[in-house]
Amino acid sequence: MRGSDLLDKMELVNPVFIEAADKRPVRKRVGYFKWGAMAACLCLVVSVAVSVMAASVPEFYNALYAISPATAQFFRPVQLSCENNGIGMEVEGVYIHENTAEIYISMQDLEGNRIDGTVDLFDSYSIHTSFGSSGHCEFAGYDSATQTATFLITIEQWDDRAIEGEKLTFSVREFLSDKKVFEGLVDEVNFSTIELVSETQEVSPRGFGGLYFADDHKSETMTALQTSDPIASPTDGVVVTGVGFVDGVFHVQVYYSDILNTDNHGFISLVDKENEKIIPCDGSFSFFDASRKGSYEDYIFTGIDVQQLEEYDLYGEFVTSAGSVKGNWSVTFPLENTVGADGGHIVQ
Amino acid sequence: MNDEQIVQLFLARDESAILHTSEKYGRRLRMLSKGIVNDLRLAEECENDTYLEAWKSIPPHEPRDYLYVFLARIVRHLSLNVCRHNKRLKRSAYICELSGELEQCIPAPDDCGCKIDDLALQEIVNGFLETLDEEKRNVFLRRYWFMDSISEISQRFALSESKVKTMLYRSRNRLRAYLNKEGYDL
Repeated sequence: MRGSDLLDKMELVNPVFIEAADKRPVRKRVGYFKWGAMAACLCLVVSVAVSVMAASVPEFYNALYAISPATAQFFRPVQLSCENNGIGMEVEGVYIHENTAEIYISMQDLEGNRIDGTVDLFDSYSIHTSFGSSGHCEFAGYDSATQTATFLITIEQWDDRAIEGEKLTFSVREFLSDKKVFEGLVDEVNFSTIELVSETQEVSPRGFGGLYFADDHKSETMTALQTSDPIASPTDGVVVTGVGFVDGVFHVQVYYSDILNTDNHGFISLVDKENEKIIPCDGSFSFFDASRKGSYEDYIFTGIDVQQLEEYDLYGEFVTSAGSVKGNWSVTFPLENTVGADGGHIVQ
Repeated sequence: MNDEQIVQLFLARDESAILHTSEKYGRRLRMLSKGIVNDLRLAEECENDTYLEAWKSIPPHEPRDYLYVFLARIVRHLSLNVCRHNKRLKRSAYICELSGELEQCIPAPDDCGCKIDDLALQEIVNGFLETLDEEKRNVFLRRYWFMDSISEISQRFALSESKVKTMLYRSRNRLRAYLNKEGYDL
């Protein structure tokens, strides 16, 4: 028997118990005036101190939020806009319907052009509410005239209670921009003439991908191609650093520079020259360079032997960026509709 | 109209029984279902299916003294099935969470079917619930019968969430010990 069976069988419980459990319990009345007055004084002192600290000390707010989200949000002062590192953030509008709140937030570079149409919050945003909810943030649009990017935050509450009037805090620590996407043949790699790397190295992988590593083939150390001189650089920040066989399995090694700051990454495939069919890699593993800033990735293709190699071209999809812009942007606002039923903005 | 009269209408195959049932218990059943499926439209479907099941079950059943619980048991069963078969609802995770908690009570969980019949299991569960004081029993049932969230239970009983969690944890341990003591092999 499993827990799910027992959950089902709970329906066998005596109806008298069920009736009793379904009745509203009488609320306990606690406290006397004296204790109430003392508690009120204590609350006043604590609330003044807490509100000052919550407003001015982010660490204190985070600690308080971990203990009691509702209390932390209660003390968080409303701040509809902020500016840091020359970037402004502002709440544009809030629309609440049923158990969902949709919030538009804009970010604008007030000093330069660090925000563009490719801006990406780099998973550095956080959403704090006082109630149980799930939420996410997505890019909504970019106005090149004002260099303003808009993001849509969608929050869905878990419980059945009104969220209007509750406060929400949205924070961002960094973002990427000037992202570039390369998709195409890596012409500089010619499998007919390329010198295959025969030396290997033992590395500690930082991650695995692909079905090849779904069941086995994973271990704490992996055998990768020995890094060679750059063979090709299809786009800035991406270098092919090795092509060869490890234990009879075909590897293509690519280096991505400064990944923690740029999120540079990509995918490698082979293209059959005869029918242009794309053969994706079966898996890949990545490992840091000596400085632990850049990362190598060995892409693995099974079932390819050395005689077949000239039948293929190398195809790559790479995403790179200029690097992240760091800062501390945070807005706190009440969840109150700023959009009327007719779609027009409510004048505050 | 009292429960006995409504049940009498069911027994007489009078379709107004459903109307009276709906008027008297519809909202409670709908809310109970919504608490499980977290979707009002599906809760309404479960409510309507409950009337159909009740129509098919009375007779032979004659729940004159426990009509609401009889209906609630049906709607709970239907709602649980909806959650398990409709992954889109994202409620299966919550049901898994509750199942996982209850699994802690089973001395030797396995994938075989239940080895004891419903009557014996009913005795075990009710015997255990009798050992709990009223508040603990109600909290336990709100969690595992009505499938309330910890926060709903804490609000309902004016208890802190940690107190509710502790209470449930201890109750689960007691159920496990009870099952062991009684020598039941589930």
